[in-house]
Amino acid sequence: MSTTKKILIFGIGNPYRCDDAAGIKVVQEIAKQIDTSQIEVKWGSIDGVAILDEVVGYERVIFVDSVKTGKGKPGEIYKIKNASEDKTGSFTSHGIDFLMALRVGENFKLSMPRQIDIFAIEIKDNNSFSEECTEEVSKSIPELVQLIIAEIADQCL
Amino acid sequence: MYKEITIDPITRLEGHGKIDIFLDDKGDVAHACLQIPELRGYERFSIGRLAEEMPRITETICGVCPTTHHTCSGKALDDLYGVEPPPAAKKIRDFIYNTFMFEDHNLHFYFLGGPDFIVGPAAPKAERNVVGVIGKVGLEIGKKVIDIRKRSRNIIQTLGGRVVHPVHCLPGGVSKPMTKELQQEFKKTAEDAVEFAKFTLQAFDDIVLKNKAYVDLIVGDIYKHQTYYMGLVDDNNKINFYDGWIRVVDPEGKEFAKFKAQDYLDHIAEGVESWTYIKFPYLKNVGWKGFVDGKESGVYRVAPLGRLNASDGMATPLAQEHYQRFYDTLGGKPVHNTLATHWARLIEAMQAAENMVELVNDPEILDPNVRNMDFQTPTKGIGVIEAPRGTLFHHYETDDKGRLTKANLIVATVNNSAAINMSIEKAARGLIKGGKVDDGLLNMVEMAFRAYDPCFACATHTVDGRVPLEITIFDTEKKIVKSIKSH
Repeated sequence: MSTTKKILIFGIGNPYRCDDAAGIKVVQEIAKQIDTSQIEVKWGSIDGVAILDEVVGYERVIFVDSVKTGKGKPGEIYKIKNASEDKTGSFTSHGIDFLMALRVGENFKLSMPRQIDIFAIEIKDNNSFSEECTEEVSKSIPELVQLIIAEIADQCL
Repeated sequence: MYKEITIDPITRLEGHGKIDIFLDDKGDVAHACLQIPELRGYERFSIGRLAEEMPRITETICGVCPTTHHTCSGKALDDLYGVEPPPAAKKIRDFIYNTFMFEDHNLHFYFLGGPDFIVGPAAPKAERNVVGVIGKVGLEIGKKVIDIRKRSRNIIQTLGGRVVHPVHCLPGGVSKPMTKELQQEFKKTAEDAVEFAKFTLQAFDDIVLKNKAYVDLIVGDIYKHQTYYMGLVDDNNKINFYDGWIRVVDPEGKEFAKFKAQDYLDHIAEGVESWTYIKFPYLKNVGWKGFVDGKESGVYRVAPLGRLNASDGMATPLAQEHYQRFYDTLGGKPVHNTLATHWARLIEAMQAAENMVELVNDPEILDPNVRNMDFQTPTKGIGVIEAPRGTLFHHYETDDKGRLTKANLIVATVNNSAAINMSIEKAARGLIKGGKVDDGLLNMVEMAFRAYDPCFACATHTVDGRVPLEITIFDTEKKIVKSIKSH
């Protein structure tokens, strides 16, 4: 899946599991507002190895996900800055040992992104079947869309 | 505004497994079981939906095998609308599907189940993962794994529209034909896939079969159950992943049943237990006798070992050579040793690669006629396919406008659910004695279920070599003795 685009924005989640779709809804909205000839926008439920497949070849990758930290309020927005530089923990997202995926890429000397950012929204309900997010999470989606567009403003507008 | 957070608090594992092991007063295992989240939500959610949405809805059940759900759903729609896809459409579907099987089976060997053998079942947990595998097989081989996987996924991306959740299957065919240019590109990938499958089988031979301790582990009694087996076969009883007859053999290897997907309810029933949401399918014409093996128990197994046992052979020549060697080495048909599933999986990867070569070189695959839209009024449609981890059924019923009134999905891991529970309990009983438990022993218990390549509700395979899993050991008073989260 070779690409000439330098940036990938990937929404992780399940479109039918209520707030689980938050990341997908964010990137779909971003795609409407930016010039996608320069930036790849994708979404889906992916596992750790697939994450490696997705990020190789891009200079910068932004994941947008939903999280249950158990400490925040639904709708709260988080950013894990430059996750690619953090080698200490065991970040799991959708059961992904994210850092292990990055370690594998580095071990294979693959063309890994220089920067990987993860944005996430604290969610309330990812068990119900619905194509709509809860009200608290829905309210935060436009804000996160604008935050991410601001992050890549010099590269997409 | 956003808040910057550290990575540790983020835990949102979905579809994780939970093994509970109950000890008796001597510290031996009295009972063990696996619980996994329910999958039935999708069936209820689908009611009232237009049937043509189902291939795109059901593939989100799972982030690991979306291609399987998508294709099975497409086949159910063919049946629902009474349309036969044109030959080129079937071949394109079959080509994409074999590519997926090849890629997924290799993923399991190198990333998920393989570390137990390549690095070692008792190796420290920190090494028993894909990075440990790289250390053993070497960087160059690791690069080969990544490369062939990437090129395989490129086929799915290109022909399927998307690799994570493909969109190519439509009732009566596929969304686009194969071009000559793509055919040329994919021929090389298919040929390289065969070479890679040869390499992997040789690696299994060198690393596993030449290691007496590993062979003893595979043929040992703690990982063995005498059950019925099920899998899809062609008219010659050779393994077919995409289509054919559902064949069942008994614990002695004799054909017990052979039927089409549309008749599955005549042969399969689903039992329930009060302690779990998951159902336990069994052979209706044998009956449910609980979590026991033998000819009198309707428990059956699917997945690579089930498919090899249920067939009379592989459909391609190189895979057939290995099939023969498999049974010669392990004492003839059927093989009841659960850990032999790892070897069976690699033999299937070889067939998938050979199928890729055959299909991509078939001149008919270039025919631009890839859709039959001579639809009949919908009532009922049933599809079946072989997922990497076993037989999958999609059953839809609709009103005359094509809106779903009923959906029944029997996914691969559910077909194996009774057997997985039996395997876990047997391994736990054989390994945990006198209350002595350590990480190495618990990994060996986990190996009993990892061989099935179980796939839970949502994208839970992890790059460090396992499905997220929590093992809890209880004493006679239900107090926790030890608890391990494998992620």
